[in-house]
Amino acid sequence: MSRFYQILIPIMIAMVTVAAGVQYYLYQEQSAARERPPAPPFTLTSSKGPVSLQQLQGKAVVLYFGYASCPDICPIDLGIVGGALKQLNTEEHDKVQALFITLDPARDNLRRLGEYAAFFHPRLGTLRGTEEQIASVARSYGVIYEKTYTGDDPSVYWVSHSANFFLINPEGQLVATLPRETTPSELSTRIRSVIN
Amino acid sequence: MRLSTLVMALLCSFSVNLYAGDLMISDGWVRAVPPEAPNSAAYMKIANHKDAAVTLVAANSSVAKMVQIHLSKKEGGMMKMEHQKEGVAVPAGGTLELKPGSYHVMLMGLKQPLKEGDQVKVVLKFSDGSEKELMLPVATSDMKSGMSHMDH
Repeated sequence: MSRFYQILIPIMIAMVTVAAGVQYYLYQEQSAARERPPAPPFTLTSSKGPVSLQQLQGKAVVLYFGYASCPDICPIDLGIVGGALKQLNTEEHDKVQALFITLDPARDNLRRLGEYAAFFHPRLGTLRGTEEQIASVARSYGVIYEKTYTGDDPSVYWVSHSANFFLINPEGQLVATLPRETTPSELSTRIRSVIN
Repeated sequence: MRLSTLVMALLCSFSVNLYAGDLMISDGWVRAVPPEAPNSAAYMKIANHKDAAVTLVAANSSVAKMVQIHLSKKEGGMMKMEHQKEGVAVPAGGTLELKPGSYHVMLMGLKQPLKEGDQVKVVLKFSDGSEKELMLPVATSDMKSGMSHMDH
């Protein structure tokens, strides 16, 4: 066998192996996507009326649970969501809906929520519900939260809460639960990966 | 002659810094918040050039009804804020960094909106009896998030 083939054959074998590997990986990914359960459904209230997850099918959905009196954690995390949205173009914006869901409906009315969210990005939507509705949606996403009172005044409290970003693909499946250490670039990349 | 004067001047200015500024505060800012948001936070670095630890025991500000020193931390799967009732120590020769998602000066019950570009007066009180009056710029986390992300 000529020297040429001695080199070529192993390279060909390697290429075929890699190609097969990639094919297998893609197949795995596809079947994993098919087997993914749908994201927990919800219907909550926005400033334009009720919004259900069902209605948002066809768009990527990013959820973050927090509250508008939050002075340190939520502003950082919503800054990440806003930063990710800023990295998307207009065409991509039409394929994604980011939503800030309040865990403090007693103090957060829709006007206040809307104002708070708009501060981070004009396309960041807001949702609220009754205490029971919020508790049920939070539970279905594994979000835990509790009030911490600072003194005797029952209207003065902080809300400790799980702080993750939930990414739902246009098919309505929960694709990722991302930690708050996620950067805006990482989040926009993840959003792009489900809409393009 | 001229050189010695310069050296003297430098030495003097250096020693003045050491004595007058044994607590040096830098990179301070206050988070800009939406018009009706009830709370905000102030962040800064406090460097202690003394040979003894000093505790940041309290703070106050004319823009808030109540000011407390808090620590944001993750516990039991939740982000919590913990009031630092005993204050926070700045070790001898060390630096305490108050930053988003960590130690911060909590401005509770804002009496006025905090817009980007405003200046906010914050007074820090330390265990050695000293007080530091600061004028801090109001900024969005956007301007600062690059910095906080570089810390990781």
